[in-house]
Amino acid sequence: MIDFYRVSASEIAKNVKSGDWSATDVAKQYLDRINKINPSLNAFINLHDEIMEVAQKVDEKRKAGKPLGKLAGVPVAVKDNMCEKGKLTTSCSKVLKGYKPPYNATVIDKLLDADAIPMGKTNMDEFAMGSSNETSIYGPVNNPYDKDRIPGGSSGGSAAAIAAGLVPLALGSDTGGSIRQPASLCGIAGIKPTNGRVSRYGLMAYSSSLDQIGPFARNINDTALMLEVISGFDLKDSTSINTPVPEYTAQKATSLKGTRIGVPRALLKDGLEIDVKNAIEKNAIENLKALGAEIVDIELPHAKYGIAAYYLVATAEASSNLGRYDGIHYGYRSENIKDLASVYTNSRSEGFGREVKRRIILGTFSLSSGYYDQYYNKATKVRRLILNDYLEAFKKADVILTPTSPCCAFKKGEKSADPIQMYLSDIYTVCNNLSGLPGISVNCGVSSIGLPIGMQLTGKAFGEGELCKVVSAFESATNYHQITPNI
Amino acid sequence: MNKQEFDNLTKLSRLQLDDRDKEAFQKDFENIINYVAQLAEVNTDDVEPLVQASGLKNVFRQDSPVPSIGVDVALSNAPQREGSSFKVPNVI
Repeated sequence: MIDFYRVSASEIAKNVKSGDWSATDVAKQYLDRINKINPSLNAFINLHDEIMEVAQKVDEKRKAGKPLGKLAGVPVAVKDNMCEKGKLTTSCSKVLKGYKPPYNATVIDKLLDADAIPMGKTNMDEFAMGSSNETSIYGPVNNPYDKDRIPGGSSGGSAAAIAAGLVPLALGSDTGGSIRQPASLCGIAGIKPTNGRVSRYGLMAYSSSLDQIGPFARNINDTALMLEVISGFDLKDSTSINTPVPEYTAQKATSLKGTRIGVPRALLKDGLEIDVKNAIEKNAIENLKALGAEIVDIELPHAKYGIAAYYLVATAEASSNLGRYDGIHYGYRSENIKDLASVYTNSRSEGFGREVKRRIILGTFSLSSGYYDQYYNKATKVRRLILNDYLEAFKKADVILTPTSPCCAFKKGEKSADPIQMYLSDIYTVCNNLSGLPGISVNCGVSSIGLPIGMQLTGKAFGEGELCKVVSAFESATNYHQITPNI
Repeated sequence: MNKQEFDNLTKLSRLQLDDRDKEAFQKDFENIINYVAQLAEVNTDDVEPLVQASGLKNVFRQDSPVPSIGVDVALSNAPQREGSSFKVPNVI
């Protein structure tokens, strides 16, 4: 019997298409593995009832001689903030208790069209607000490398599920680093695509100008494969951009001769763990150089203001987006009501967790009369300067290299008492969201105590193909992507 | 920010905090505001705000009807409904 959890998504799809493996066997084995391992991780919070029926339909489709899609028979996990018709989807919040969406997010339709097998919903920080997966109503996710540590957030469940081999592919969403930071802390690959590349229709909105859906996988080829499937223009998302989807899986290289990789040295001086710094300098830069890449010094002088600008913009948008949770249309309604206003206030006060409330209040503040110019408006101007820095840097470089996170996976509870410390986990990732640019995190080593370390590559707008190419070369020369936890 | 201003913000947010949260949030809030105040040192004279990075302007479509999910499905998650309406307490 083949251990399907050890093989890649593309290998599963290839063999299911050819009929050498059945989608049903693959799904059954993954389901058994999830049931065995998930209780020690809490990565999945719900499994779908009809997994085997969906897999069976894929097998029947093949037997009937119909062509199968790019993800034929591949088990996938979906973060709990993406709508799946008739399936519990709650953003891990009490305010959406019992919510079953009446429609599919566009990414779900695309996965089903590609004959993937959605297995269930993964744990996350409530409404994607967090960097440690500790704000979920379902409790924290354990990092597969050390169960006393966090997996990163907010897409911690999806990242942990990939690292532990519970699924070969998963979807996450990234507003300030929520795909890349957990990818880094769990030692896997994760892409935040360019804003507009992947439809957000059916993604529960946190901050609309920053949110983006993207894939997680264990290697670049699988990541590229999932990105290829979920990308594309969608009329239902008015911020979707109508530009062709390249064949990301074909963007491969074994040499980086002629590729210029920019390194913002000033951002590597302090504020990061020594193991992270060493891994970037020795494992990442040295290997990229050995592959023929030209390493160039660049400057991103406004990046240090990224966190401040981000928390004003993101919370402002959140305070507006989360206004829809009113206890009337769907989700939780307080039983302690006396009039209409108390339906709103009590349902929200009882339904939202502390971090969500904190961010709604901060956003309300930065948009309120008298403070708007000083805070929200100022942040949007700094946001412009952050984008301009990148545009300037891309005159000298094709991609930009930084750490993904300044630290490795930290212990549960270590940063939850201090919001600023928690927010600083995203110091290297937020600027991509503010500027709309794509970023990928891939593993580039382990710390002295065996925790994974990620490197982040940032590309030009719609430059996901270039990122795939650089990472494929990196993987061809190194084996960091093959490191797995002892599960 | 004084207590009254903070209370007003929570009211605007349609939230009510218990005493423990109120005290903790106000403290966090001060720290966060002090942190974001560093933006003041950036010279943003003549800088255009960037509210979203896609470069898209208004996106229009033909005003033509398309199938929708229907009343029953739309109401299927309502905490309370009556007939084809969402039910709320007396407004007047």
